[in-house]
Amino acid sequence: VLITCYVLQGGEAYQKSFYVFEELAQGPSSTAATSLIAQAVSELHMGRTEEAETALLQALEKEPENSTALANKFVLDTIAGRDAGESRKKLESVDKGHEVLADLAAKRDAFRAAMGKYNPKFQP
Amino acid sequence: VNAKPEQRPAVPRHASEQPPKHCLNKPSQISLTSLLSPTTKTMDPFSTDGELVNIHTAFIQGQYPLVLSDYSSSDFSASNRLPVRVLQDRAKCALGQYDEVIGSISDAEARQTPDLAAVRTYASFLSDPSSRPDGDAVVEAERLADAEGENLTVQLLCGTVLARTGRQEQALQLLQKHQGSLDAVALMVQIHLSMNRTDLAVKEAKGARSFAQDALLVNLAESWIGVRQVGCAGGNWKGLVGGMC
Repeated sequence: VLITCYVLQGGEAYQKSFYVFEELAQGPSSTAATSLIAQAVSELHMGRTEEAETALLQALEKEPENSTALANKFVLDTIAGRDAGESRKKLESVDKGHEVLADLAAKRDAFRAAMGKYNPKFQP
Repeated sequence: VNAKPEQRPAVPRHASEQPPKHCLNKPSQISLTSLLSPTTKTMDPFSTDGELVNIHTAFIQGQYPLVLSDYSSSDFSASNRLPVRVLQDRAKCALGQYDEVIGSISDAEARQTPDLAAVRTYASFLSDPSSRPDGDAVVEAERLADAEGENLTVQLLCGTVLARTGRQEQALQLLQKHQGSLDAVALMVQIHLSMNRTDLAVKEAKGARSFAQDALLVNLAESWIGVRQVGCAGGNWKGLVGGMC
């Protein structure tokens, strides 16, 4: 429900961005990995995971080692509820310090720090 | 400086098939307020009647292999050869060919031409991700920003280095010196977005819309903003749309 609200609220802005990116990405004379990734990101925001994946795979076909494409593939697999381990490994192999990985590590540390404040007690 | 389109020596394949304005064909869906307005006549070589428009369009569309394969700086008029070289070097950087760029610029050239010094610094920054916080390239970028802050290439490339090493405010100050450059505006929009200041990004893009009407970079900048305006379908995840730097 929450996601639906976001999409309804943001639908128009996402849609506008999507049209600009899509037109660049799908035009034979203007296509590039950058705009395919941008198209995929706006589709992800609108909850269209399958279409987003198509665009991302097109981007990766053009540039297999594009770290932005790989980062978004990792995000997409996570959102779709799939095992994201493989796409994460691929991203790590290309760009170990990528923004997404650094962000994830920082959140894991914060969670552990928070967890350290509590002592789990188990009732027998 | 401005060659007429028919005199343009380097007309790439894609340009003859489709004019650079093809991105604007969906007026009903996109709020393109000034779709039919005539292009402003300026002395800017990047403007729609300038010699550099095709290679620049290919660059901002992220068609880096095409920027390298379809253009040769010797086909351009003397005053545009440096901008072409800079665009091609930036395309090489986007494709990860940092060493080639670094090797192609001699110390003498870098001393003489701030643009090339900026390109070399930018390439060496990108080539060595481990020494980011206070490495040689970053120190040199700061020096160039101080000494040659009026140079657009210095603004763009050293601004990128500064922004990527956590000195976004310094980068913005440098970029604010630009003289009506959409590239600088687009980079400022990206920096504002990276700091979660969508409001400032919107302001910057609005300003550019008023002087550049429906230039591709303005549409792109508004679209980068569009995927960030409502925030987060995926929790705290920022849409990584990549960009020109």
